[in-house]
Amino acid sequence: MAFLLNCPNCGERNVHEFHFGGEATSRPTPNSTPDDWISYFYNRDNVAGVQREWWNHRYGCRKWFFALRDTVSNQIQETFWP
Amino acid sequence: MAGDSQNQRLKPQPTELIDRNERMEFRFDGRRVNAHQGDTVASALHAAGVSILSRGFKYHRPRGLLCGAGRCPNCLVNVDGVPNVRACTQPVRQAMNVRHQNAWPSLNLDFLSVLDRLQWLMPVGFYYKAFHRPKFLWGLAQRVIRQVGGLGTIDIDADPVTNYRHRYHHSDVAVVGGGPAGLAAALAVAEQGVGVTLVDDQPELGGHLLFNSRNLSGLPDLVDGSGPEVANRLVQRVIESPHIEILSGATVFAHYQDNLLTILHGDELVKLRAKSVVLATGTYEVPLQFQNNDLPGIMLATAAQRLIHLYGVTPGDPAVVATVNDQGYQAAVDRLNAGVDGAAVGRSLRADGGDATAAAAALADCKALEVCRRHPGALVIGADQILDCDGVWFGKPAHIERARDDLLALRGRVHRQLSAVSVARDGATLWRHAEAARLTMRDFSQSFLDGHLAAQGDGLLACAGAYRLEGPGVQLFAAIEGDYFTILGLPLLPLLGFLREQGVIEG
Repeated sequence: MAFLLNCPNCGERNVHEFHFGGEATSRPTPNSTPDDWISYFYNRDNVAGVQREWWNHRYGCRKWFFALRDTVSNQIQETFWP
Repeated sequence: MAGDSQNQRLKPQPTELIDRNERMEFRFDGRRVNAHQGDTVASALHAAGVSILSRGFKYHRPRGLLCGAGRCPNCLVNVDGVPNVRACTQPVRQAMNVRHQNAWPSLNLDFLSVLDRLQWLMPVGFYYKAFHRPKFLWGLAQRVIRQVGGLGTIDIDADPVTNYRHRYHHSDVAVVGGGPAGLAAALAVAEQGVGVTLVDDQPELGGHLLFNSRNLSGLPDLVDGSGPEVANRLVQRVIESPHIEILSGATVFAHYQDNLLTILHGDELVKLRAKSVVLATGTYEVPLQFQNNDLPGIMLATAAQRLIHLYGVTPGDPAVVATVNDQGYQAAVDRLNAGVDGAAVGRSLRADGGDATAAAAALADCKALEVCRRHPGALVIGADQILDCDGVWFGKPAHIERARDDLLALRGRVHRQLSAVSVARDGATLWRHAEAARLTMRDFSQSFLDGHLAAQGDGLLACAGAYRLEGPGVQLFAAIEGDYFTILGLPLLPLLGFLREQGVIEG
């Protein structure tokens, strides 16, 4: 339910204060092929394990940051600035 | 007065929560019932002789008080239009209107109880709330099933209870449960100067100490005393501590990730986030399994103890206490102490973690107190003996074949004879003593056993373990450690010492 997420700016807050921004992906460069772009839009790694993902402190400081979360156990390992 | 027709109140109990000077009256299905301030609906109804509180969902079997602590669905009633209220936790208010649920036309005469006799038509597991064929009957079936399904009715014209306040709260430590463990934990944390929130679901702190009259001793930092006395001292210290915040009458109904506790406190939902949580919720009693164990009048021992100690109501008479550990003995003793006649104690033949010495002591107490009641002013000696062989308890054999089996079971092994004696006068125990002796039975031959049983005959049926040490039974043994009289069944020498002290016999 409402577990705690450590915002690098504000400290530990109720997860409902945040907005989940999805898995961290790498943006295509100007040299990328259409396949790269399709992958960037529609494909995700979706690992069963630790993934780097975006979080936004929507109802707080509204800053975007990274979290390392184990998608199997739902435990947050670390939060840090991008 | 109508409510007093079968008054089941006991004389004032030292630990009761009710105020006998404050009387109130409420209605139960139109009938006027008397109650005191502090009574719950269930305790007041029980005092007025009402034993059926509701009817079962499916077969409409009668239901009475079972747990007395708000943990089972037996006592659900409709209070002032609110359905499914637990009668055993709902405090009585003046002019309350309590109605039964799930029975028509009345609790005592429920036409739908015919379903109990039609169990073969709707066996366990048969889903009686859905209908498939024939489809044209669905309209009618739906209306009938709708009436039979569900529990409780909502009065759609009444003002709905929609105002549940939400409150967020933070604490360093949260202790769930206000019994002895929770109180001690809260005090230990507060001693470190750390803030604690103590949450308990009962109206008064103390947990099972409030109705556990057994004498407690050996507790560090606390003087010995009865359960309620110890509770009083602990609660006093908790109240006086500046670091402990108390939430009484509050049920912690969930514990979520990162120590989020959700608590229902009246009409307030508290979401408590704590750095650490201590769970001190104690144990629940489990009912014994036997045919018809759901009938009114069959209740958990703690429910009977709550009725006696907290509300001054007799659980019913006569009584049978069945137990598998020593907690039940205290319930039996409580029944006697409360001035109600007749308690038979059935004890399981497996010790199951119960202490045989405590059992013998409690039974000796029971016997002495029972006889005391009939002979006021007299000094009564009660004694009991239990034979314990590796956790199995042996009683007096019912017949010779059983005596043979017992002796074969004890052959070649070491067993203990526990004897307890209790001296009482006028309903109060003056002195108790218990002792154990260790006996090693030798590996006797089958022919010796046959000869022994033939010679002793029915005389062996009077002894636990089927031997008489004072006679030829001594030949069964290889070694004996302990007092001779203890083995015979009564620690005579300590008893004589006590009687000399009292001046009953010459010193």
